[in-house]
Amino acid sequence: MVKSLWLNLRFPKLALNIAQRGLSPAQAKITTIAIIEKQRIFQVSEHTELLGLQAGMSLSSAWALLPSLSTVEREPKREQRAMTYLANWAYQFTPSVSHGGDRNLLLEVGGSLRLFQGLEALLQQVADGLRNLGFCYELGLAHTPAAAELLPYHPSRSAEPQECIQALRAQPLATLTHNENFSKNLQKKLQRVGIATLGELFDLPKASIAQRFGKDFVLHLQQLCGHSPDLRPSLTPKPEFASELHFLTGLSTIDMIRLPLTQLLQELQEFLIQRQLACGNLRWRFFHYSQQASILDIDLSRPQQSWENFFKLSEIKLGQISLDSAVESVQLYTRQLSQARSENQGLFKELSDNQSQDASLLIDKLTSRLGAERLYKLQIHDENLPELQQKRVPAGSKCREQNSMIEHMNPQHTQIPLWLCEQAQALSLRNNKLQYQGELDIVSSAKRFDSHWWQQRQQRDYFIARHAHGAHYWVYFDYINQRWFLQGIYG
Amino acid sequence: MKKSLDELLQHPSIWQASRAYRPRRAIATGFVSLNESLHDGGWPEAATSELLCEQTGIGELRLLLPALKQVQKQKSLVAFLAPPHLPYAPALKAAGLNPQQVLVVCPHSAREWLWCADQILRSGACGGLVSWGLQTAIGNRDLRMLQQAAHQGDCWHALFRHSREARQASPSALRLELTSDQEHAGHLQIHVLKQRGGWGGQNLSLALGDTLHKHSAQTLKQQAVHLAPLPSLRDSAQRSSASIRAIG
Repeated sequence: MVKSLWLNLRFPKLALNIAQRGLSPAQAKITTIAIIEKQRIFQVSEHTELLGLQAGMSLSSAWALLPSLSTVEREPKREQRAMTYLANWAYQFTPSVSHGGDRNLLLEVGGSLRLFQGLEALLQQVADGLRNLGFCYELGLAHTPAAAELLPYHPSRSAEPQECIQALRAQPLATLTHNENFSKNLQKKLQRVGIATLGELFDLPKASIAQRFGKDFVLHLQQLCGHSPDLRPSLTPKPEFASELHFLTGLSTIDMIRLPLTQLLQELQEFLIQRQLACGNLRWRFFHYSQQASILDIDLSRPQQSWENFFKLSEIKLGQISLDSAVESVQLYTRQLSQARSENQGLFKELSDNQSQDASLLIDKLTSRLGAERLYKLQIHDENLPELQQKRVPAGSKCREQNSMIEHMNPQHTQIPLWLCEQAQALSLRNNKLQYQGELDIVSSAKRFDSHWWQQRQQRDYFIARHAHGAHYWVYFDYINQRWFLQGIYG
Repeated sequence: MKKSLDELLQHPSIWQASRAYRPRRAIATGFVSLNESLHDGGWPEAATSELLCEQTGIGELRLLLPALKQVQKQKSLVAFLAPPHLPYAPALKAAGLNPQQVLVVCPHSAREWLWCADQILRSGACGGLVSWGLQTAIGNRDLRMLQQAAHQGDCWHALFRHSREARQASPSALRLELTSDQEHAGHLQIHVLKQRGGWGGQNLSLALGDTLHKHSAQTLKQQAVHLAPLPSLRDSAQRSSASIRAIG
């Protein structure tokens, strides 16, 4: 049986990290930045803390201490989005990821140890991943989820239940202020009774604790030791990806946007590969300081994973927009995700057939530059009138093979022209000759179309007409309008 | 010295007048007399072929259809860039092409035109590109770029340009001037301006559409007319009624 092992990731500086993600590590070290909430400092960076600023300080005194301080308003929604993103990210280590208390993620990694070749290797991966994403964190590790939230990770201690309980017993209560089960109020009460460590609390009879501090508190103590079950509902990851980067100094040129684009797309690719998904549509949102957002949609004709392709298409699209004001944050969002199909790869490069892949990339590129309406394929429809016999379909759409009846209906097929006028052009008559950039001579017998009696009846006689300079045209006489029209050109 | 010179002469793009030509890869044009006039025996593969003509409607696209059909057998996708009119899918199908694998691209500006042509040729996804640059000014450098792109993407490129460009020098592998044959209706007059592997200057007249040609040769009087008199063309209307009487 696999022993359960809980890993707790606490993000103490989440708001700050979100604001700093857009900065390079070197920049992040020297920038003085503070997150403010209700005119008071909520979090400050390490560097700023050294200069004497602290959380809880009023904004005016902070300005007085450090005039160059840049401030960012705290946005709980942004933090929530980041927590969802991190939970999605943590899903790569274990299927059971759950939100702990405030800014905590609980991961049950007991079943993943073998896959990741041991706890140390797994923790290394967690550390590397979070460092790349730019989040600082604190680790907790224990045999129960509640204990993992309380016990900081220590390399010398294993996660055996006895050792964990031993460590818990030694834990002074004063260090547990960040945990919601040990609120300041409760701590004061416990102090008054003369209890300083968790061990002393464990030794007291349960009934008397329940009488003084409530049944829920006893239950929590039992859950800490693993004596009563602690059910943590694991999150089911939503089939979507969203990530964002914020910048203290706005991005004013397209060139500056390139770097965050790369960073976010690489995150997306990692996400897609881990979930074995492919993405069919991307949405970029560029938030300006004026609270307005520019939106850039990128449609792909074939779901895919490679960030290079996404980047190429984004670049083409970016070339078309102009940035009126500086960009404060860049957000990447996608929810059109489908199961990735792995492509068959040829054993030899020369023989491999990646035509369909090339074709969809080409169509995507052309679509992003020109727009979908200026790129099309033609699909044949069974109709009598020539202008209804074909329809434009988007270039990226899947072609469905259609056995058209038209061939059977038209035995003399070489008589139809290769070009069709978008709309039949009315022709004038002069000296009893049809006029179209000069005189036309009719050189064929008539072919009659009589159709659509159920709607507006169309009665036409088609002829081939020849121009003096040698071009041939397809003209018809419309009996309803009593006029001549040009329908097509023999290209 | 001699040895290295010999090695150099083995290169397929070096042509010596005294030697027989070395065959390059080519796509058969589908017309025997045109194949015979070209040293490579067809349209040069992975290169630009320029077709110079003054207007559409003389059968310039029909000239390419057999080759396009051939191309679609290998790589199914072919592209039409900036066609002057809407392609008529049933006619393409009748010619043996798969109209659903014909990508029609309509750029707005000359810059977009060039960008699209380059992307399509370079992508390697298309077997052939037919592009219309009758109104677009294409410089020598651009042509060279397209030629290279076609080579890189292994794509056959047929480029229509206006006949006034005939005097401008061009790096394209093949240049043909197309005019309508005034003597034989329905024939296409081809003048080879330049081709790889030998002299240009060949002249030939191709019969393209048999049915069109037949129709052109006949006069209205000889045709069976099953119509009521044509009301607007009085002249032909009289003829038609005459022929109806003759048949009746």
